[in-house]
Amino acid sequence: MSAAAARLDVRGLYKRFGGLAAVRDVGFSIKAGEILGLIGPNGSGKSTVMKSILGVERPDGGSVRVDGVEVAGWAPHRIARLGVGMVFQHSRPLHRQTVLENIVFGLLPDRLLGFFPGAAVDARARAIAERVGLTAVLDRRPATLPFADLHRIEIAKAIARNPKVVLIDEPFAGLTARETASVAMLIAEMRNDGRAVLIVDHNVKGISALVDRIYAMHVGERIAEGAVQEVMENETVRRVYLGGALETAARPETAFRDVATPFLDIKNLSVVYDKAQALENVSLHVHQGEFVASSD
Amino acid sequence: MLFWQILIDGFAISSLYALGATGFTLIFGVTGVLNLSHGAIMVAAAVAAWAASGNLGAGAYSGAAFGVVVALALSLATYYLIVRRLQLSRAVREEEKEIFILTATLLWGVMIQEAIAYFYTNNAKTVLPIVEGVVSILGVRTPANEIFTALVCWATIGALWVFVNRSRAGKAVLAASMNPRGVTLLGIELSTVYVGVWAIYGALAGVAGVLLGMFLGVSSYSAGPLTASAFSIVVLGGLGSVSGSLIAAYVVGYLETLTAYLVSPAYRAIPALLLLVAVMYVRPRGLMGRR
Amino acid sequence: MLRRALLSPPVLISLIVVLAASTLPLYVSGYVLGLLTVAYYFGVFSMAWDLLFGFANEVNFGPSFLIGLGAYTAGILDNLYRPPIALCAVAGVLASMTGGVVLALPAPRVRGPYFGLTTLVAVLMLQNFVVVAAGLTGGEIGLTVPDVISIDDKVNYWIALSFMGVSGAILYGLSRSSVGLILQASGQDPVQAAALGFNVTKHKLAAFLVSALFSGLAGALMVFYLGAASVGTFIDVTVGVQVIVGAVLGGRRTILGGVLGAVFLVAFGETLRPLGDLATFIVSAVALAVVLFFPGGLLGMVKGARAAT
Repeated sequence: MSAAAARLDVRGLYKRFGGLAAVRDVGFSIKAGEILGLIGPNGSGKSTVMKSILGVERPDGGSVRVDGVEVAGWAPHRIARLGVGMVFQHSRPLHRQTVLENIVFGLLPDRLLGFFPGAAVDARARAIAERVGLTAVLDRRPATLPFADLHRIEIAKAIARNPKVVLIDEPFAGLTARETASVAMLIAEMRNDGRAVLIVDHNVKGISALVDRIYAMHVGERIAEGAVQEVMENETVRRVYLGGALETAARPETAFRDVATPFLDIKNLSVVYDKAQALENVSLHVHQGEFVASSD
Repeated sequence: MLFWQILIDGFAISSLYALGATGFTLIFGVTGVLNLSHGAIMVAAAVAAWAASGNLGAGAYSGAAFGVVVALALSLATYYLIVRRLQLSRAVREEEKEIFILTATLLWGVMIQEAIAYFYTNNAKTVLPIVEGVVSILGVRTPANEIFTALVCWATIGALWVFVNRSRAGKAVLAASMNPRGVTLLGIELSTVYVGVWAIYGALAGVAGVLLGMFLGVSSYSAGPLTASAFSIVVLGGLGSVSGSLIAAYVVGYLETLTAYLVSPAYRAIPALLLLVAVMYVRPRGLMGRR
Repeated sequence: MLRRALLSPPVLISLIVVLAASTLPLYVSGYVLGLLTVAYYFGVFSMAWDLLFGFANEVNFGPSFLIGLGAYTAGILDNLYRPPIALCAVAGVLASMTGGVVLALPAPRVRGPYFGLTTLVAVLMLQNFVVVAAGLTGGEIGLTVPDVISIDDKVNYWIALSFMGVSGAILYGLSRSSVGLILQASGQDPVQAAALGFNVTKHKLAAFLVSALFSGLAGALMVFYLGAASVGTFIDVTVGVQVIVGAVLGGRRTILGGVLGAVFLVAFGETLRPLGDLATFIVSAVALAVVLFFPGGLLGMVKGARAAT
C-alpha cells in the first residue's frame, strides 16, 4: 500500500429522494494530509454527499471507502467509529453539561456499562481543548459562550477520537473575520496531522486559500475538478456562479418617481440568530418599480 | 334483517365518531396540538345540555344550544389558558413543548371530568332528545333520534367542508395547516386563525357531545374512552387528514358494531385496537397522513 | 469524577432524608406508614419514567402498561400456582421487560406525538385484555393474591423504603454516569450522537428495558403489599397520569425529584380526602399550575433559587 493511497475514496455516488436524484455519479478521493473543497450553490447536492459519506443518508448506489474499507450502507455510528468525524454547521452542544464534559462525551466508548470516565479520558479531553483554544472556558456551560467558542466545541468533538477523515460543513458561516482566521488555522492543523479533510461550502472565495483541490457541483453532478485556479476559470463554473456574460439593464436612480424617499428603505440593519451574526449594518433601498437583486 | 340493523346502527355511530374525530384532527392539523381534554369537553357539552333542558327546564333545543356554547367556551379556555401559554413559554425548550401541552391538556381534561362528577355525580345521563319516536327503515325499527344524529353529523361536516373550501377564512385555515409562516406573509394574523380554529373545534365537539348525550347518554367516566377513540380514529386515518379521519371513523364504527352484534358487546373495542396496533407497526402515517 | 458524584449535595441530602424516613415507624401511625409505602412505590414508578423521558427523551404516556404487566403477571402467577413470591416478582419483571421491548420497537421509526399515542394504545389494549379475560385476571372487580410479603405495617414500610432507596441509587447513578450522558445526547440529538459513534437505538432500547425493569418490579412488590390488583390501581390511564405528574412535579431530569413528587401527591391527595371527588380536581389543578408556571418542578425551583443566590 503506497503512502499516497486515498484515505477517503468515493465512486459513483448516487442518492435520490423520491423522484429527484440529489446526487448523481459523484466521485473523488482525498489522501492523507489533503484538503478537498466541495463547492456548489444551495441545492447542488453537496450536503447530501457529505451525509452519504457519514451514513446519515443511505446511498442508493456507488461506493464509499475509508482507508480501503467499504462503508456505504453502514449505520452512521459504525462509520464514525471507523474513523470519520464531522463538524456540523450548526453547533449542537449538550446544554446541561460543561465544555469539558461535552468533549469528554466525544471520547466515550459506545458501551452500555461504562459508568464513569477515568482520569485518562479527562486528561485527553483537556489536551484537545487546549489545541482548539477552549482551555479558558472548560468549566462553563454552552449557553454562556460566544458563537465562535461553540464552533470550537464542535471541532473538538469531531477530532476527539483521532479520525482519519474529517468532514466539515460550512465552517465559516456566521463568523467574523478574526474568528474565520483562527478556525482556518485549526483546519490547516488537521491537514498537517495527516487527516483527509473535506470542506463543504457554497462560497469559493472563503475556502480557496485553504484547500488543495476543488470539486465543483451543480444540480447533483460534478461540473469541474482540480486546482483552485483552474476550476475558477472553468466555463461551466463561471456560468453557474456568475450567470455567464454580464449584460446590464440597470436604469439610473433618477428614473424613479420616489427618488428622494424610496418605497423600501433599510438602514444599518443587523441581525443575530442566537449567537451568529447573520447581518451586520446592512443598508439597502428599493424604489417603486425598481428591480434590485441581492447575491453573495 | 340483522344486516340492515348493523348497517343502520353502524352508520349512526360512525357518523358520531366522524364528527368527533374531525374536530380532533382539525386542531392537530392546523395547530399541531393533540388535545387530550377532547372527551371531557364533549362530556361537558352533553352534561350542560342535560342540565339546561332537564334540571332547568329550558327545552330540548335551548339545552342543546347551551351545550354547544359550553363546549365553545371550554375550547377557547383550553387555547388561551393552556396551549397559548405553553407555546409562548420561555421556560420550556422547543422540543419539550409538545409533551408539556399533551400533559397539560390531559390534566385539564381530568379537571373538567372531576368537576362534572363533583357537581352532577358520575351517573350516566341522557340528554333530552330533540327528535323522538321510532321509524321503520327497510323493516328495521330505528329510533328517529338515530337518523337525526347521522343527519346532523353530516350536515355539520358538510358545513365545515363548505367553509374550508369555499370561504376566504376557511382557505386561510387550510393554508395555515400547510405553512404557518407562509400565511403570515399574506398579511393574515396567525393568532386570529388559531382562535378561529379552536372556536370551530369547540362547536364541533359541542355538537358531537350533545348528540352523543341524546343518542347513547354519557357519564363523567366517558371522557377518557371518548378521547381514546377519537385519537385512535385519527391515527388510523392519518394525523392531520380530515378525509382520512372520516374513512377511519366508519371503519372503526362498523368494526365495533359488527363485533357488538356478532360476538359480544363486551369485546366491541378490541378489533379497532388491534387494527390500530397493526397500523402503528406497519404504516405509522395512517391511511392518509401527511405529517 | 466518581468521588465527586458520590459526595455531591443531592446524594448526601437524599441519604439523610432516607435515614430520617427509616425512623418514622417509631412514632408515626400505621395509617400514615401505609400511605407512605404506596407513595414510595409510586416514587419508583416516577423515577423509572424520568429516566425514559428526562433522559432518553421518549415520552411514555402509558407507564401503567409496564407497571400493569409486572403487577398482573406476578399476581396471576401467584393465584394459579402459588410459587414463592420472589419467583412471581421475577416473572412480573420479565413480563414488563418484554413489554418494554414491544414499546421500544416502533420508537426509532415513529416520532413525537405518534410514539406517545403508541404508548397510550398499549395501556388501552392491556386494560381491555384484563377486562375481557376476567376469568384469569379478575376483570373489572380485580384480583386478590393469596400471599403478601408481610402483614406488619412497619416491615412493609421498611421494605418499600429500602427498595426505593436502592432503586433511586441505581437510577440516579445511571443518570450521572457515562451511560446517562449518552442517553441524554441520544435523546437531544440522535444524529449528532450517531455521528460521534454512539448506537442510539441500542441505548434507547436499554433505557426502555431499565425503565421497564423497575416499573415492573415495583408493580409486583406493590401487589404483594396490597394483596390485590385492579385496573384502577395499576393500569388505568389516571395511574399513568399520576406517575407522570409525580415526575414533572418533582422536577424532570433529576430522577430524585420523582420521589418528591410522588410523596407530595400522596400527601396532598390525603389531606384533601374529606373533600371527596373535589380532591382529584384540586390535585389536578395544582399539577396543571406547576406544569404551566413552574415547569422545572419542585427541585427545579430549588435549583433556580440556588442559582440566583
